Amino acid sequence: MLAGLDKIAFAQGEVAGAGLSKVRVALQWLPQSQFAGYYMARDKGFYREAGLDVELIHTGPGPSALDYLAQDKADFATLFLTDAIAYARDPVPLANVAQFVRRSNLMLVAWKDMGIEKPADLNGRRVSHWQGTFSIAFTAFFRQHDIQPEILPQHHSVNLFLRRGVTTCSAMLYNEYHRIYQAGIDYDKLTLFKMRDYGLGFPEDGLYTTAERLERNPKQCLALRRATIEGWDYARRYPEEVIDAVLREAHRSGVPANRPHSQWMLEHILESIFPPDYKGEPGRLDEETYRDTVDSLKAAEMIQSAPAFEEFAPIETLEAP
Amino acid sequence: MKRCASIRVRMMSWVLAVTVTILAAFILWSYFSARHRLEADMEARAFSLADGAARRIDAKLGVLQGVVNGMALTLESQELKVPFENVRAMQTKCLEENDGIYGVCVALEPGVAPTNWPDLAAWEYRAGDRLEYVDLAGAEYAHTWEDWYTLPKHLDRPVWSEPYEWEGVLMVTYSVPIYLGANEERRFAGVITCDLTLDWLEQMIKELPLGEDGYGLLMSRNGTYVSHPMPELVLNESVFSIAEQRGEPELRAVGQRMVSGRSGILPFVSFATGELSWLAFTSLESADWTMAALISLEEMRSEILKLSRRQAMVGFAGLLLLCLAVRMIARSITRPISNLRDAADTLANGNLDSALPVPCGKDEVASLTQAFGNMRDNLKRYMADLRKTTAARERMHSELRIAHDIQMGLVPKTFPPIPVRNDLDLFAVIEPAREVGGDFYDFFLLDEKRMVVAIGDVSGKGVPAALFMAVTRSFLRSAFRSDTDPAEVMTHVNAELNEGNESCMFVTLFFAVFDLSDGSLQYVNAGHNPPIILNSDGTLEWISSPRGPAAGVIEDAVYATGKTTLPAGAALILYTDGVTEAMNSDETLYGEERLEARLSASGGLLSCRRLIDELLADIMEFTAGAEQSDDITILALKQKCAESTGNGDCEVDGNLRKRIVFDSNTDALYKAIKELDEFLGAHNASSELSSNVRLALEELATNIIKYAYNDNDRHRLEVDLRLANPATMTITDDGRPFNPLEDAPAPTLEGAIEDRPIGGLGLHMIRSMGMKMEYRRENERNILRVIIPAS
Amino acid sequence: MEFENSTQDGVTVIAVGGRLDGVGAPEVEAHCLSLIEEGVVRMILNLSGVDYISSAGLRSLLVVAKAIKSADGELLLCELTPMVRQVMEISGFDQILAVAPDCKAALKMMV
Repeated sequence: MLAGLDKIAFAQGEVAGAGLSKVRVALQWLPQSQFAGYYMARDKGFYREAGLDVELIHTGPGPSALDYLAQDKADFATLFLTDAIAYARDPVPLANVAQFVRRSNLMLVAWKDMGIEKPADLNGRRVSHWQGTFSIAFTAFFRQHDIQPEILPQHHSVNLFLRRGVTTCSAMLYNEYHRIYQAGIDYDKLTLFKMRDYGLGFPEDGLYTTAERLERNPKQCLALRRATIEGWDYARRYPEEVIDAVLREAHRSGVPANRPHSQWMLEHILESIFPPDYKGEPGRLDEETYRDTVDSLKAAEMIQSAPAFEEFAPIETLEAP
Repeated sequence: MKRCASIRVRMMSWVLAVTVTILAAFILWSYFSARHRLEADMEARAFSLADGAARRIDAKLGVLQGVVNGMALTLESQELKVPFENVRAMQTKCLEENDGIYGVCVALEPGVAPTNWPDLAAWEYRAGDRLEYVDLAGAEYAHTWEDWYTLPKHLDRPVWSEPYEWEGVLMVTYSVPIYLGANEERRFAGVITCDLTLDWLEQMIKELPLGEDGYGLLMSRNGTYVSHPMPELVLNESVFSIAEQRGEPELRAVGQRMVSGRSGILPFVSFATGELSWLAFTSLESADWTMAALISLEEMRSEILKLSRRQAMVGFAGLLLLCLAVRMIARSITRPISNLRDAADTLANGNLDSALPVPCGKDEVASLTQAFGNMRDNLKRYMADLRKTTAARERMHSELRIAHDIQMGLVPKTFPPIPVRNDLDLFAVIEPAREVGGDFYDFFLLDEKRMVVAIGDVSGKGVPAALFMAVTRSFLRSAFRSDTDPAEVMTHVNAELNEGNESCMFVTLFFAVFDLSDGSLQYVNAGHNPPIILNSDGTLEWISSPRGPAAGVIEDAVYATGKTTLPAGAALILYTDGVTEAMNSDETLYGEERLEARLSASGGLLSCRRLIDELLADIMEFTAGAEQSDDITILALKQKCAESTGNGDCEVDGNLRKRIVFDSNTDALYKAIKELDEFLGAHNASSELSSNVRLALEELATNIIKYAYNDNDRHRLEVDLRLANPATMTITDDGRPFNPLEDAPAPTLEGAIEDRPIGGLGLHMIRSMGMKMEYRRENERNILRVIIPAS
Repeated sequence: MEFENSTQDGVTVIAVGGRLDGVGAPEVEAHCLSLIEEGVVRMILNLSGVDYISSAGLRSLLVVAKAIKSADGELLLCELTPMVRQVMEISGFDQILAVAPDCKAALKMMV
């Protein structure tokens, strides 16, 4: 297999030293445990074993990972499934390489003491949430409960919520929820609306590349997918080492980070990647899940059409036994 | 401590023990009270520090806030109708005038900005010493997404952001919203911000007077560290993340109190130093941040400990000084005492002239020394007196010894006095009362057959008496040279003694001239105790007359010579009044009656030496240890075995002779036989002779005892044995006339035993043994002479 | 006086020590009479320890001899010292009192 990869890489003219193919992976946010599997695959040499010299590129408040991919600043990018479907054809045709986060972590967090105890309490109240594909679940949630909150866009922080500028804000279970806790707010002060509890949980982080690259170099994509799975598996087995690596990564990039938060995030990400109720292969994107998500997006009028599953995730046919 | 340690040790031990206790108690008390006080101080200080720091930060931030508020007010009041250059000028001016501000931004809501403004988010900031400018509203960046923009916009008030990093710079931003229009038309137009770097804040906090033992920290509303001595905590950690990591819910609760906007103080273990500290916190008025100050308690405690240690060291030094002082005082007290003790030791060794230590002052030791000196002086005086007395007594003693020597030297002490005269028995003793008395005795031969015996008692005692006695003796002896009549001699002696007798001493004197050939005795008595003649049968006679006055009293006193005969075996006993006046402890006198009784009891058969010994023993027994008050002098003289009425065993004319007088009874007879046995045994008589003597005496005396007397009076028998060849034994009795040679029945030697009378058998046996008997009756006495052949 | 009694072949031998004078004789007499009273009638008096005898002694021996005789007994004297032998001879008592030269002979005589 290595020999084959080498040949392909050589043909591509992208050969790095020691016969490794150099690939760039854009991660959709700043360094944190959300990407622990990638760090491990890189640090533990799984990528190299797969003949890859992987460069991990963190994005942030500026250009998104998709931007990187579209502008050819990266060969791969991590995207939420919803985002990937939404932008499946534009600006660049995308192909799924792997679907890691199988479970939704998206939620709304509300102040109990501002009178939010149940979805209906949100009606007419100020709620901030992330925009874009995030809003699909929230909009569906509001519609589901027939409520019309006053929506404010939410950006990088939950500070507006913490300062009670809004009664409710969007949060990821593995991140903002715990950030709020780390701002001294006890859990019992908060009301949670987990989207997955309302049938609105979409798979999240997945690895994508351009359809063109996948078609051209499917083995490389497959190798990247497998090595990354190996990285996540390692992270599951050695969480402490992984957290150390994450903190190193964060500090190297000057990103605020602390151990308990990294640990919290790792635990919840791993739970989402390896859910106890999921018996399938890690990294796999099910057609059913894909269709459900597409349907939800269509229902939310976020998209009119979507590529066929085979077109969106041809790798699954390659990977299929 | 030993119970009887020296005063110095005791004093030092006690003083030190008490002082150490007090000192230790004081240091402990001081430590705890100081600690308590300082802790309270520290608490107040921590609080005031936190508060003071908060106010100072408030003041600084207030200035900056004022600047931003002013800008906002300016732009708002002019409804943004300000040339962009002016806005930029304002920004530059603001940065130039306020060192603390890192950047100033005028960021407007899209669509609100005046059309002639080129930039929507004009930001001027410091880049080193220069000011740079950038429009944040670029293609790739939405400034409207930032907290510093959204928070004031939606909160509708100026807001201090959480700390964040921007292009590698850690900062916080103060944003003031500006609005256009009024009332219902009023709408959000954008924000005016100023940025502060955390470095600047840090610097500001560092300048706060928190002391060496404390530090300050600044915490955002979220509990995130804005400023902390551990820079790695800033931005990364909040008090809550640390609480979570450490698993300390208490710390989380502390954090919640700290960010609640209230003030407080509580004990806390610092992250930075790990020391127990006071954590004081208060919220800023300008920003909704929390200022906290930590003051280390441990450092403070170690300070107090240091203080206490210093106190202890000072105390210890003081203790040493005290020690020295006590030692000096104790020495100043005990040195004179030990000097005195040394002096006392010297004194005790007899060196009374050794100097006493000179005391200084008038303390107790001084008075003790003085008392001691008095004692020594008295002792010296006393000893001097004693020495004098002793010397005097020794002188006297030696005088008395001399006197004694004189006394004893004057009396003859050779017994028997005339070795060739075996028939003369003489013995004398002087028992002086003290060293010297006035008694004396003397005896000497006048010629071959006359002997002088004398006894005297000089009045007084001691040397004068002894000398007077010596004089008397020499007068006596010299007088006898010219005359032999005792009265004449006494007259002569008296005259001599009276001559020049200024001391009026006198002497009682008795002396006698004894004729050894016939036992005649011529004597004179000058006031002396009457001598005694003790007959061999135990009877005695007092020679009481004639008697004259004591010699040396009357110059022309007249003395008469008395004459008597001393029978053979009778003893002449001379004595002084020391005998009769010997006193027992009841002050009863020995007396003449007791003397007489004693002498008759001892019988007339004892030798002179034994007689005197027994008498002395009796006197001793009588006085029973009472002190002897007067000299006791006794002289006894007897002629043994005088020819006519021989008595005792002695040799007369070359023959041994034994005369025994005994009572007329069987017991006395066998006693006499025993005495004769001893005599015979002593003179090696043959057993045959002894048997014959015994047989003759037993048979004959038994007859006499049985038949010679009709009355119950006491009768005495006399047996006189002469060991010549042949030996003769004469038996004399005063019974009725009885001639056994004729009157006794002839023995019956024939016939049956049962018919034989026992009677004349004795005479028959005597005769049969070859002994011859002669009988005569003289002076109403039966005299039977038995001639016993030697073999 | 000293006495030492012993019995041989039914004969009581009394060794006598001391003087048979006015003092000792009554003792000998009393001793022997008490024996006789006890029924001793065959008696030998060993007089080797007696160096003197007076008429009083003779009289006592006579009394004892009489008492034994009246009791149908027998008395023997033996081992007389010279003085006693002389006195016995002088006084003729050797004619009236049986005398043996020694105790063995006396015993033989008694038997």
